[in-house]
Amino acid sequence: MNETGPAQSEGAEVEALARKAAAGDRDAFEALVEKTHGVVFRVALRICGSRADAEDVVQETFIRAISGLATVKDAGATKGWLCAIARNYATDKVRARGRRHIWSLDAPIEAGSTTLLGEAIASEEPGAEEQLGNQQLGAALSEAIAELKDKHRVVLTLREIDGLSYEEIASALDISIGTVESRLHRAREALAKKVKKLARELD
Amino acid sequence: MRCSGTKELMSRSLDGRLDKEGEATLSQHLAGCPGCAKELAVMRATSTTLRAIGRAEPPAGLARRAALAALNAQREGKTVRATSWWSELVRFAWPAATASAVAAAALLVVASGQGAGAPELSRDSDPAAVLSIDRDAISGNMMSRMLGEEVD
Repeated sequence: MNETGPAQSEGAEVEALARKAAAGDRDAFEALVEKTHGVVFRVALRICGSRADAEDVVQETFIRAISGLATVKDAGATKGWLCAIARNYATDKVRARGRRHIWSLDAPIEAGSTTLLGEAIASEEPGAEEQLGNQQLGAALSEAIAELKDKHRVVLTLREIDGLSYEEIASALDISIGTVESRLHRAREALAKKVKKLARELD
Repeated sequence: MRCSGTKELMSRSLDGRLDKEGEATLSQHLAGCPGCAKELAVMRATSTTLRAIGRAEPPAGLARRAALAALNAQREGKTVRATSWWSELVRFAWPAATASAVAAAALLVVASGQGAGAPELSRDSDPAAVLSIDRDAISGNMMSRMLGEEVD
């Protein structure tokens, strides 16, 4: 499954803006930032687990990028290159905090959205449906995601929450489609186990 | 098919990336394996819950703030390199003797002001050009390592 038309067209637009920005066109640089900061923000958010940190990473990414745009020979790879800068800075931020770092989903899980999950768990754990409230399930799910391995959590959240395609994730993280697939299935498998375990502990 | 072999099929099925043959193999296994069928139900329900959260959107005005901060930093000569890639090149690709030579050359470049701050968006400010390094000779994985990305 390759990129569709609109994705290719957006790629061409980013490429054209990157070329102009590299030549010193200020308006093109601003348009490039507007066009690409969303994915940079999401990648940073999923690594850092904090909106404030993600905003800081976005700003630092473009400060770092502006002097290097001219050195990017393949303008078509600009978005991936920006994501690489963001990944580096975000990872440094997380590493610098060490154990003090707390990853958060940074978005509420609406109580009504866990009904299906409650039913699925109840089918495995008879009686759990009556014991578990929707809020508890939401809390269990958030905690389970936070406990995943970093590389699994980033791919999972970019796919499931932010809705990035496999191709977009591969480009943003500079990994192959096969790696996206394997990380996703490992993340989902681990998450299913953790959710069931945490749900039992929370009741 | 063993249970362990179905996990990846389940995940791809959730994303609609499984072909007909794969779906048939998965269905056949699930029909005879209640454990995997229940696990897929939990995975599907988890996926539904997470997708209901919705894509994270950056705050309004962030793009403008980031662009202005970068342009101001550039004007004031306060920009930093995306990565000090030439020093990474030395670390990963070049023998120590060459590394010393490059470092010395880089110091000369910086001292003469050609490589410092990258005050303008220009190919002339590319240290690769200054140091006569052929960037095309650097592999994708090498660039990845320069950018600090893990290589699977």
